[in-house]
Amino acid sequence: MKLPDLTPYIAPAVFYGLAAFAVISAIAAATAPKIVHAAFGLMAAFFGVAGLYFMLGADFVGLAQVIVYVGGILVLLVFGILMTGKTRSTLGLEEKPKLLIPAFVGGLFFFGLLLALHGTDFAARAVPPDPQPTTAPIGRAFLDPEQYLLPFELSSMLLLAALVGAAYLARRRRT
Amino acid sequence: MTIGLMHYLVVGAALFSAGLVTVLARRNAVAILIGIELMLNAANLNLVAFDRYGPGGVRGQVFALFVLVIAAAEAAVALAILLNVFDARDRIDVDAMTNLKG
Amino acid sequence: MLGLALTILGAPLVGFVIQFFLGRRLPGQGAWLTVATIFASFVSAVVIMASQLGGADPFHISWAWFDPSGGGGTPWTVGIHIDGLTAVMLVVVTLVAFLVHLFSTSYMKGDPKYYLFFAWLQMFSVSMLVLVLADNLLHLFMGWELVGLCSYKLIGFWSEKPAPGNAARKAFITTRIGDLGMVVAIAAIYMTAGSFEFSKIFEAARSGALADPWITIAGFGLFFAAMGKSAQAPLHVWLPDAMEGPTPVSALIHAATMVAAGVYLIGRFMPILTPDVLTVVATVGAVTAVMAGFIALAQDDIKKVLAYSTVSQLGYMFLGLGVGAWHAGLFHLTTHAFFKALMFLGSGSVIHACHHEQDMRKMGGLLKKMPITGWTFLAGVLAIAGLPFITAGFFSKDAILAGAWHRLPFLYWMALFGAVLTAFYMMRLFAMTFLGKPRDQHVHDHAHESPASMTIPLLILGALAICAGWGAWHGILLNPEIVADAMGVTATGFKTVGDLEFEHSGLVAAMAITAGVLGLLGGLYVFRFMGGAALDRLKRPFAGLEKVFHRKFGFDELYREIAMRPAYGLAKGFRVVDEKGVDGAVNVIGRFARDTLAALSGRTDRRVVDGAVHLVGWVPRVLGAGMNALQSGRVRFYLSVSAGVLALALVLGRIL
Repeated sequence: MKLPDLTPYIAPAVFYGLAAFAVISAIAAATAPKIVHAAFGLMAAFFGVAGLYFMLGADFVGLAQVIVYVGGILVLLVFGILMTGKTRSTLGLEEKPKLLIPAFVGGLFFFGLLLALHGTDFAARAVPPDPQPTTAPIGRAFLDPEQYLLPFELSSMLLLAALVGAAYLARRRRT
Repeated sequence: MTIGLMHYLVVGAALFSAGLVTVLARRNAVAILIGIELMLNAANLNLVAFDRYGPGGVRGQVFALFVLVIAAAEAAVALAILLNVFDARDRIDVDAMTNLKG
Repeated sequence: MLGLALTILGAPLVGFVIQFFLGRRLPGQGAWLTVATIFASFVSAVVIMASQLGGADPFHISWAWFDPSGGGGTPWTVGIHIDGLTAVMLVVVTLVAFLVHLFSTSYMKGDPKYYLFFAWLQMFSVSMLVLVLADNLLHLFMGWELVGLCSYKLIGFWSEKPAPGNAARKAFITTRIGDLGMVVAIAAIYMTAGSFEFSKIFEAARSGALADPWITIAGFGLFFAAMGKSAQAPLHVWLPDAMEGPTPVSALIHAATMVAAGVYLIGRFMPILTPDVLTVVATVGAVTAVMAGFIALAQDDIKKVLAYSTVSQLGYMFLGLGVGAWHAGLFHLTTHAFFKALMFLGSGSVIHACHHEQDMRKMGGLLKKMPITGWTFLAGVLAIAGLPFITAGFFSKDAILAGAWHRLPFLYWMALFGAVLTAFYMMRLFAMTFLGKPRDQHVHDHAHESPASMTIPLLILGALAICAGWGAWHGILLNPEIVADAMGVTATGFKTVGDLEFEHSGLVAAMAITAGVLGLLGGLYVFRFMGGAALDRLKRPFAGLEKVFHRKFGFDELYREIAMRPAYGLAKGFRVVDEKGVDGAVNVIGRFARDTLAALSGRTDRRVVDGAVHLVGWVPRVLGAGMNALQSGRVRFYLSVSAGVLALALVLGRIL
């Protein structure tokens, strides 16, 4: 008995799996009754998107996604949730998000985006070349004065400013 | 059965809409941040997808990384602000933040 | 040349940056630094003018800025253009700015924001220099807006008082209305000429690419912008209010920056103005000149009189430009810059000496107390009145009148009448302030001559107010060839300006002389030698008119009625709708539906109809609750609406 050749189906299957995982997680983040669950939904969505990045051959961006988003931003958000969590006045605040109108607006928006995508010709390549490692080209692009050196340095300034600003804003005021 | 640009863009649109719903539906300011992060991720996915199916080079990925930086800075500052709000009012319900209404 | 041009721009810019960020810590709070930088600009400007008037070719350099089409198109440029007109403007602007800086070092002494004042003075000068040095319309527009911003900061410098803040906003908003015209003109020009560069725009006008109707639209747009910036009726209302700013700022605004920008703009774009536009320019100028003269006649605040005299003189400049005697208009701009800066600084000296008293009715007899201020002020008065043969104002005003006589005789008569008025009210100002007996002994006792850093600028400007019409200046600026060649106007025989040469008829000159002298002597007689009772008797038949003039023809009231009140009303209305209307309507509808329908249901067969009615009652209640929920979340509600509308637009845009 000869098994059918499944090779052409592997990539689409992985894609659909990852896409479904990401989208379902995102929807969970939107609808979960508890905010902590929403944060976990967000984490799952981050992982799903990171997987999609790897499928797109963007290994560096995928790794940065995992490190920065999951390791940094998400932790920050969870800290935020913990520090602003249960107090008298927030108890019972976030039972279930009222979803009717947001869901309608979001659905309409999604529909509109689909229509826009449908009607636009992006002149995309149907079959892209095999993915190459991207870390070296990205590094060169960032440090090349002809390319992105200035924005790169500016963004480091931005991060510094954000760091100082956040520390300043969040410091405890003793009155 | 090949996966094209359009597939990724649809996923991006779905993630973006989910983020929008989160922002609109939640009253907790941290949850709204979660929604914003989802939307930024959707945009990033589009950038990387365009890069992959576009004329080549790493331009799209570089932009995705810049977006990442902005997202990190934004989350840090926004959370600092929220902590301040929480200190002052003991809650971070955006519906209660109506001091500036006309 | 490039180095000089960059020095002109760069020195005060560096001065601004240092002064703005570090000024507070500099010794003497940095005023000396800004004086030095603007002086460096002035020296460079003089060198440039010397080479330009020595016959050097116009200088032009431009750098690609960015390509709006994304690649392969013609890039937008930034650049520097220097010709005779630019050179003259540069000298006037930097000289007046330098003297104002110097004057301010004493005048502003003790102000808590001393260093900041100088920072903004520097930026004001830089903005004007950017505007003057620009080689293209877009670049000029940046300078134009920067000038507006700096004027806002400086007029409202004493922002802790309400009046300066209001005056600053009024100036900003009024000039912004004019800027609408600028934007329209830029769009029309770029659309047809395909470039912002002056030379290319003029080229397009010659070749016919920039033709009717766009050339007319562009011309009117530019003039509308100039009306706002240069305070021409009916957009003149901001300039008198701008007196709320510190007096040196008034001097700068009235002489070198801000109002000169509008005149410069029209002068620069002379080659593309069609006859229709020019006629409008001339008419608006003449009407403004006379109207502002009337208003100045009935003001008692020394600075208000000067402000309206500026409006009036600007009217003369536009009249000159509009009748094609554009070199005369620009010549008047330079002479006016000198004598108006002189008089503003002089009035600043007086106000300073009289403990910030600005009401002329409390002054008088100050000439003995403040001889330098008084005599230099007299030079300014004589210059603006056009005392024949020796003052600068005579030559420039005579040239404008001659041009008007040549082309639009009716406007000539208006302008001539305006000249009598000018001489008359300026003499009134001088007589009330400096001559006669002191009216308020307390103010008089307090008065003293100002320190040297204030009187030196006065002496320099006083000399210029007299001499600027002589010799070199006269020959250069009244010779259309020099400036016009640089503009490429006569060289190409561009039709609208026509013959720039016209005869200086003896008759016109004689009439102008008579007008000036008549006004001066009349003013001197009425306000110096006629006693109080006689003066009152003389004024009585004109009481009604005086009231109208004093109220400034009611422009402020008019604008309050037609613009501000409706805007406030609308805002209030929206607020009521927002607070009561939406919430209220939802509640009322819900209650109405529930109550009436419930009442109805009670009267009909409960068992049969109950279910249906409950359903009917339930729908509005749920709707009402839903809409109430929408209303409760302010930010999210607004966001929902905007996201929803955007989504709808996306969908409808595809379907339709």
